[in-house]
Amino acid sequence: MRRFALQKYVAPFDLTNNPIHRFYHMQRQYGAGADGVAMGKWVAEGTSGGTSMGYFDRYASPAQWKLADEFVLLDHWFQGIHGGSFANHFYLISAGLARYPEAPTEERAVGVGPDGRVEKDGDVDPDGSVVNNLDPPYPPQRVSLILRTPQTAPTIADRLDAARITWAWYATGWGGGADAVKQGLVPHHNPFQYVKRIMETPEGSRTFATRRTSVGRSAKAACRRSRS
Amino acid sequence: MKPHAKDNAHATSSTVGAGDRWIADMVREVMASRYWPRVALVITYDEGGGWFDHVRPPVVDRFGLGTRVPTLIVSPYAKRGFIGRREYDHASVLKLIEWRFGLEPLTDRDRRAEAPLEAFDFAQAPRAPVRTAVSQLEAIEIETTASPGVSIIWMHGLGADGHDFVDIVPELRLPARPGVRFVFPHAPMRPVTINGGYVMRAWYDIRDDGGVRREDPAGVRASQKAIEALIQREKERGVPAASIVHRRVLAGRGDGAAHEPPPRRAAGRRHGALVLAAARGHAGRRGRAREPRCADLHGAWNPGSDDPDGARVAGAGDARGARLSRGVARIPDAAFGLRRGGSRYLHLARGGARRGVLDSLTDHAHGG
Repeated sequence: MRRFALQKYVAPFDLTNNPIHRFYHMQRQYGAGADGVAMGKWVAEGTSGGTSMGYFDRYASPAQWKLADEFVLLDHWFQGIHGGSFANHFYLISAGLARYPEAPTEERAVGVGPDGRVEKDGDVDPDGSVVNNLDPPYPPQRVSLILRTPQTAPTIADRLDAARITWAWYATGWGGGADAVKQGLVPHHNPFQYVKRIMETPEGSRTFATRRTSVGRSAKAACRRSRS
Repeated sequence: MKPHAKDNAHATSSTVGAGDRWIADMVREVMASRYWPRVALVITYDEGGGWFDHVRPPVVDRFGLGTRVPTLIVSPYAKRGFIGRREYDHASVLKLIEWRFGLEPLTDRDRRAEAPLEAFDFAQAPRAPVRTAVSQLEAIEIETTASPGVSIIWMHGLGADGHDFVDIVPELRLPARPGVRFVFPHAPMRPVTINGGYVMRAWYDIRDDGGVRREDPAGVRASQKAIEALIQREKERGVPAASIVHRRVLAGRGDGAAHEPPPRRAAGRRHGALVLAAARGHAGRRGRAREPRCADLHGAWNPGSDDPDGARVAGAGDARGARLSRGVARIPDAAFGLRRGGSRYLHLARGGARRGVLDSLTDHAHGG
């Protein structure tokens, strides 16, 4: 399977289908193709035909390329965890995976072999680590598959707070109450929403709450307020 | 900062283009804020979205690393145009924070991760903000051969979109050589005052000023820049020297500010693209503007007139307009004798458009 220029068929603002990106699938995709070369199973182990072989050139993202030309591009930066969104977001604040040893059987992967082979896929690995997407234990949630155990592993917020360094996490749509999800919040992209100390203790929630009003828009507002 | 679902560039909720625009917005706000002198922005993606990459990720434990994601560092102390090839992952963000503030690592992963310090030169004079607003238009592209040698950027009229003109390509019955890339950009969606604020595709807002249509000069300039970016793109994609037909392209009337000349690089012969502007409204037309059809095109191309583009835009006899037209190739007006066809379909009258495009291609061959 060769790469192809996707923008011959899909404009940069047109929707594409969604190549699967899950923990075990992605590891299988690293496997050798028919030519014996690694990274050769993107189509064979995918679910969206040839889509994943498509690429956009720099004209689909001119702002990012402008920044790359003017500043710094790091081109051997890897996502921390195989697969998808939540595991990587939680890793971004904790350098680890969320834990859910109490996960119900139907959410667990079974029969994990080498190179991502599984007898049954699941969001939680046999050891209780959350390797795919589950929504947070605290509302708002978007889907019914929920990680019901509040997380207690230390995060960068603990380190910063202990050193009395202020921090903020902005997530667009936060502060929208029950409508937050409708307003665009993606709960499984919002890792502090899984963390017990942030969501339950007064000092934690004060730190998060005063800064989480609505991300994006409020990040913009914060910047604007700060103009001298 | 995390974007809205519609801006996060994730397949099915968002697009590559929307994500890029959001990043541009955020970077612009940070650059305009008082934080800029002390800021280090790390712009990254949670995951590769299931899209192919050829680099086998290093194995650090049974959870990763996963595939590469492009990551940018933007700061007054970031190097300029630097590409760092050392190995990083999302724990490198934590490592950078820990390095900066002298904090203990959280796990083995961030203990072992490298902070992206090669990106910075703390001894350099602090860098000023840059413009991130690189215009980007949604566009349909059709190529008559692989690696075309000529590009035609074809702008639609008020309320239409790029799709409206796609059917013209087969009707032109162009020869196999030279290959042509047709680029049909869609104008941005915006409220149009003369249409009661109705949101539609428009290159700029139009107001009714006591019966005279007035184009919004800022909108004209913005769209002009967007089209320039498309031209630049064609140039960078290696379209060989070619003429530009720059005809009534986004130049306003009745407001000096809208009369800015086309960019200098768009005025020479040795340039990458042909630009055709279709169907700007008729001067002085009253009432509700409608989706332009072939009849509008007929008027817009103004068959029979010898006025070059610039002169028509700025007004006949306008010296600057005449200057603008120098070195700008033209498709003969008669070439665009279009007549009205079916609802979204163009029929070409007298074979004119075809002849016009062919003449232009010949012009490329000889004049480029």
